[in-house]
Amino acid sequence: MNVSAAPRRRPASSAAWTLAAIGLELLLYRSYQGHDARFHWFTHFFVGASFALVVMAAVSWRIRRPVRRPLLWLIAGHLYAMAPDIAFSAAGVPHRRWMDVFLGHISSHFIPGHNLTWFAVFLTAAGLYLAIVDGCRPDLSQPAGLAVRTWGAGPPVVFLHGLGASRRLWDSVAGNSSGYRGIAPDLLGFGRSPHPEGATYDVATHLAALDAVVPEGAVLVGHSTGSILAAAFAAAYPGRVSSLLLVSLPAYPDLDHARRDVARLGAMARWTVTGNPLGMISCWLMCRTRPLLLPIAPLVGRDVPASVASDFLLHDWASYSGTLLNVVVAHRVEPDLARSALPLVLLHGAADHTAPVDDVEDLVARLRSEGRDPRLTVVDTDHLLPVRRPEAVADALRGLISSGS
Amino acid sequence: MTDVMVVGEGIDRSESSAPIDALPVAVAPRWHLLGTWVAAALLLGGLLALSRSGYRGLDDPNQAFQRPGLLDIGSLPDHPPAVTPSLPRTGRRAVVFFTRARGLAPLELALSGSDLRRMADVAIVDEATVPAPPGAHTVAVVAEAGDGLARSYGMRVPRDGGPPVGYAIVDRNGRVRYATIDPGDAHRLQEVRTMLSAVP
Repeated sequence: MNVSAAPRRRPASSAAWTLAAIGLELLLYRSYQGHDARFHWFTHFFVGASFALVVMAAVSWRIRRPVRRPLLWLIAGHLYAMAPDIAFSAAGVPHRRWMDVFLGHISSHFIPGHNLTWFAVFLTAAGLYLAIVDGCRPDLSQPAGLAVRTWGAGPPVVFLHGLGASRRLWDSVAGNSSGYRGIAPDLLGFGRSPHPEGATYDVATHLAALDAVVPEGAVLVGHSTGSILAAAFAAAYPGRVSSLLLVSLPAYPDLDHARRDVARLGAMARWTVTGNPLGMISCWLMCRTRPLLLPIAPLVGRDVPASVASDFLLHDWASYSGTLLNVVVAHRVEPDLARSALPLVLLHGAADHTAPVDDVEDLVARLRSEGRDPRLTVVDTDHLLPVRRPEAVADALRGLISSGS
Repeated sequence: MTDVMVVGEGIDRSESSAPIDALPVAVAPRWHLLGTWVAAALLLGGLLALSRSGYRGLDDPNQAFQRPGLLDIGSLPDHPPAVTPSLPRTGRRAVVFFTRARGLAPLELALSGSDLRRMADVAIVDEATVPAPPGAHTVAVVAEAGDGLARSYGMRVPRDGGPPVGYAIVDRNGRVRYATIDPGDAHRLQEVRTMLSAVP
């Protein structure tokens, strides 16, 4: 597997494709010299694009998702429909009746209503395709499977991202390590996983969704909120997990401590913890303007990979606030860890101001006093350790896998 | 593992135990899809209206028949009447241009610098009511007040109802193979040559 070479859908890339498509169509338009010949551009564009849209609709219906690069399909249909005109312009080949094989290149000119008819056909075909695409949207009222990315071969390792992130948080770690089968889900309500109506996004909800993703004997790796869930999963499903690697674990000792620390993380977190409606309003506005925000998210979040910055916009208010309040603030990780006898490694940034390293050091001390033997490694970075220091995560993971085998 | 929905990026499918019900492309919101449809309708509808507004009186009422690039379109005459005593003649291809007063000089100028006359006999039918004196033109020019000749060569009536501006191509057997209204013919002799080359 090669994560670094994996295709990624980025807004900038979509914009480039759109511009290239428009540029090519302008060139094709210009190839029809004179105002009277432009009639043909419209005819063949509408015919070719309509045909492409019908095929796209059939394919989308079959695979239950939109086709990739829809503009390429439209251009391909147009080029096929106008192929005799290209032959005429480039090689001086006049039209013949048999050229109707190019989507009725000859006959299409002579239908009643001419281009207005084809325009109506095009709009109908476009509506059909978009309606089918709309129907491909997962039924969010039903809990469905999580969106998961897998790679490699070997013992299973499940990676759980933190609040607001997605499975793509682990791309750098995946690129720095090998010898295992990586499984990285988007948590319920985040990334491209479903957002079930009415979900509470508490620990039990998340664990139920993860149940289908974590294979027997898996190493669980979690970052931040994901590390709380990893510890909770190991406690809830004894025997299912072989070891734990908890990165940037928020180890708040009690509820008040958790509320206070989370509230100072920023306006959004503060509004959420204090129940200020500004939090919900801000999140609602961001959801409504998501298509506009997606292209600029990588510019705003320059300190993380563009994919992670874009995916930050894919959650909603329910998943964000529910997970923050019910998992990060309300759930205590210490009992989960105390209950489990699994090999435990903690990796933390010395400059982590989101989940202070002091809390983790205190936690480790308490666990040791209870007879556990966790290993804590502090590295010189902040909370985004999997992004800043992926090799440190890879080293710790390698150690866990080798000790287990 | 039955409910796992696997996203396609970078999947080593041979190693993945999960079912591949791929969802690699997120579905846009409904208002976004509707907006795309409306934007396409407005943009393309606007461009279509713009292109139609560019049609003038000299154009064919049915755009499909104007410069279709298709030989033998419709039912063209087999043996049209002579434009000049030697045109058309058996064994020699011919191009007959139809023009109006203001188009005559540019067309004649364009023809003088073209090799079209080596490929075929060429004549111009002009709407002028008074014939030009002999030797006044470098190409055979026939004055005709009406559109009788044009109709005989299968030329269609333009939108303004007057005599057509365009050209007809006659093959070596004296059969009209191509006739089109073309108000810009003086600038598109290359296209005339292309159609002529395809005629026996």
